[in-house]
Amino acid sequence: MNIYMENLLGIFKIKKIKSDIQNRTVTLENIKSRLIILASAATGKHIEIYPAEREGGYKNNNFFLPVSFAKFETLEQNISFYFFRVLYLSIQQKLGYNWSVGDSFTNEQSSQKALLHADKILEALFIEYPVTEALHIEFKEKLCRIDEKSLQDFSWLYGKWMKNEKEEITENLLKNFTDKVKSIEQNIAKTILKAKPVEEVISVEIDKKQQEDYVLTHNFEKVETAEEFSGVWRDFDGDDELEKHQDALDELNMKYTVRTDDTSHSVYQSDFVENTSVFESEDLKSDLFFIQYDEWDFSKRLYKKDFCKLYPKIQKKK
Amino acid sequence: MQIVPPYYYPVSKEIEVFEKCYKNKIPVLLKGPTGTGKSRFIEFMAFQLEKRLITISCHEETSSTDLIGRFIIKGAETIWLDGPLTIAVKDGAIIYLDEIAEARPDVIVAIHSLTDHRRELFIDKLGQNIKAHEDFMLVASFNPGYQRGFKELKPSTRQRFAALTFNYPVAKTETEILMKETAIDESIAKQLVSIGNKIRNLKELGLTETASTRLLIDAAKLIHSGLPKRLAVKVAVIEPLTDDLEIIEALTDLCNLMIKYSYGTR
Repeated sequence: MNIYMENLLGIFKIKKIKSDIQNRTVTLENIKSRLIILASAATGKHIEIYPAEREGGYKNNNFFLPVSFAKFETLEQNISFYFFRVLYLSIQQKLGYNWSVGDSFTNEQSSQKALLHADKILEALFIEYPVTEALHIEFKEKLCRIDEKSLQDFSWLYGKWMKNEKEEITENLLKNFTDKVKSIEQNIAKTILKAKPVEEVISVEIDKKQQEDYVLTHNFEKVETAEEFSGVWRDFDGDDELEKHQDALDELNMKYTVRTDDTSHSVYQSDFVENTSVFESEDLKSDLFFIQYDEWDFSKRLYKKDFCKLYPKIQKKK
Repeated sequence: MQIVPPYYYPVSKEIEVFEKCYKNKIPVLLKGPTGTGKSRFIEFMAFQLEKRLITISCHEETSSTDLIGRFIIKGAETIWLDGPLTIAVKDGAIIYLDEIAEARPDVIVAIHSLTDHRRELFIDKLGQNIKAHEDFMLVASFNPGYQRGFKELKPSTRQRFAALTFNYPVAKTETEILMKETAIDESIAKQLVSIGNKIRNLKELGLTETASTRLLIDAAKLIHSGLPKRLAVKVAVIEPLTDDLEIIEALTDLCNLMIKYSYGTR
């Protein structure tokens, strides 16, 4: 009877811990719009927020933050953690502490750099946002208490350095798309699955001829790109089998993508659109004549002022 | 009773420009967003020039009759009653048409002859032409950002005025204005100006107006009279800007992060 009661208490305790964690967990998705407003106010720029692989950082006008956070005891503290990170990144961006375009580095070096420059960022942060000083002390203490091992690991607070993208915008940006892609999509994807977040997307080229010659087998086990790995191709007969392969797909690093003109039957979606949408950005600079007009931002239910630029066809080639 | 001159902090050469325009009988158009000191400036100038100021706040129902005058029935007879514009033309006052673009088009037509070399007002109901008094001056205000594209002033009207643009002052000046207007501490004034500038950064929120100097002054007054800082900013700056709950929440986050919590400030 005693053993039964102990087991029951044990189960009850586990359930309670799980429910406590759930109650205090803040997901980025839920507070993203609040954070975007905060980040834009803090920087004076239009900031987009994306889920990070872990602690995150910033790249140009994009802030990367953890997908969810529940390290601290209360929901309010975990929300405040996101506020702290947004303001921290806004100061870091203002001071320009990030890797340059040509730099090469490891993840460890990126975290070290972030730690090295934290004092300078914090100094400016506390002057501009006095409340963050108390938050910083509180968070630091809590992180030390949570885990002995993480005594020296404050990467959650200081993030890591990331590499700014070179904003190179040419008229060739759409060259990888064929007329088929540009035309209206007839077949709407039936299955949409969410993938793990990525902080960078690299487009790799595929060998069309080799793809066509490939004998029909597929194997996702050790595939690094969804299209091809070491001569092994994905099944491209158009069947919607995405859900069947979900577990295998979770192993994929969505950093490497292939642009293709095949019709989509299912979508494996990663929250990253940063350097794939730059060609329609308001940041595009041009000396040529153009007319500006507003763009409707569906997710925010707002117009982005003068976001689109319309150029006369005659000067397109200049 | 001692007359207290209206407080105005000059940010550029606007006083000199206005004085020269007045001397040369050139009407003046004050452009700029709400709460940047347009009305305060004209009050100040009228005081400086020792002229009477008649202010009309134009709205979409403001017609030329409201400005020029109308016949009214008094007992058994019908008598003519001069409108504020006619009074100003006759007495040599400064007439200030606030938000002129809001008024009906016949108002613009009525003032045309007063804004050029003729300087006369035609009262159609009396069939009279009145020459403006030597000291008469016409001043109008217009907010180009507000209702943009919907109620623009026609170029033919705009070209009858010399125009002065008003905008939010630089942080240092705005801090001084807040301190002078409300007798608040410099540190609090600085904090409020900083909050104002952060909110002004948010151009994509679809706010028709952003945090004006007037709103910051209101917040400063509330703080000075004992209201907790966070609450004062919320009721005087954030709530008047928008009804969107999400934006209110985000702006409150921002202010709470910029103002240190003290007892009773939530």
